[in-house]
Amino acid sequence: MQTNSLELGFVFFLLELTQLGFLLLFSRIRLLRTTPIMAWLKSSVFALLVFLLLFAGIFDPSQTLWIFLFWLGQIPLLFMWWSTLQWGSSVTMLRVLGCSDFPIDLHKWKQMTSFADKAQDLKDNRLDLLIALKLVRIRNETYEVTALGRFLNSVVKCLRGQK
Amino acid sequence: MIDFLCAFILGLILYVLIRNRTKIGFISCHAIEGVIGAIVLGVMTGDLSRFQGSVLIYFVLWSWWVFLSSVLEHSLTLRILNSLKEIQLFKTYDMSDEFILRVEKLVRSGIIVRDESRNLYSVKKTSCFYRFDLFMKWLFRIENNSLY
Repeated sequence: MQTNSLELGFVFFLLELTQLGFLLLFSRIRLLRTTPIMAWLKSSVFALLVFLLLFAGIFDPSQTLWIFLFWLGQIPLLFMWWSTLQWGSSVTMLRVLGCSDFPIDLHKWKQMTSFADKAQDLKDNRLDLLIALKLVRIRNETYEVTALGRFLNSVVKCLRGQK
Repeated sequence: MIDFLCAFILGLILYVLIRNRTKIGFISCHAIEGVIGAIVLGVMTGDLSRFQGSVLIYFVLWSWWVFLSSVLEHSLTLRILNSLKEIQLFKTYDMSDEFILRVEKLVRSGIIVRDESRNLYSVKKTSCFYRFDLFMKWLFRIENNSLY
């Protein structure tokens, strides 16, 4: 069966809906409830399997490949949305402030988000990661950015539009 | 079938140019890049059946590129790296800066209201984004994450 762009667009929409449906199942049903990352991984795989089972017979092989490409393309986009929803720091700051019935000052807000007391742990954790990735090294008890780190930093600055 | 690759590279160059030369935000830059790249691809391929296949591969490349650039742009680890580079060897990134940076972004977006005279902050509870977030939180049973 030949499909046109509109039908393929509809397939994409259905694929997204299927994955969102699985995400709902893994988030809301007590027996299936799992961690956010596992919920996302399982929902991605199940959505693809369901689609291949339902549509592989209807579409010709090339179009089955197109469904796979749709799936491959939507993975990072949906993950960015899901990770912001689950772990986004600005979103968490917003939620914390939203819990307060009256306006609060910056210091109180910061304490409520744990930016104050756990910040050092997080910073140390990230510095360890930078060292493990060979982007930073310790020399004479101070941190030094390696050549690789400098290169990556230049790329990032270019992408961010920083001088 | 290298037309999608040409369109993607063109989009990439366009993205870097827009990001460096204008004040347009991250999402808008990618949207502009994606749409212009797809239009260029359409002009290059000409016929519809070839265009469908090319645009799908272009979509895959573009979406993974959005993901990668999002990591590069927003990663706290890379911001720490940047501060190490800027301040040389002796200081590391101050997490208060990170907090203030995010507060300013939230205030600029209009979701958070700042009382200038008393320096107090509150959420604009009628904002669409806040309502949407509350709905998503309820829908997916998201618990409050105290550390970011």
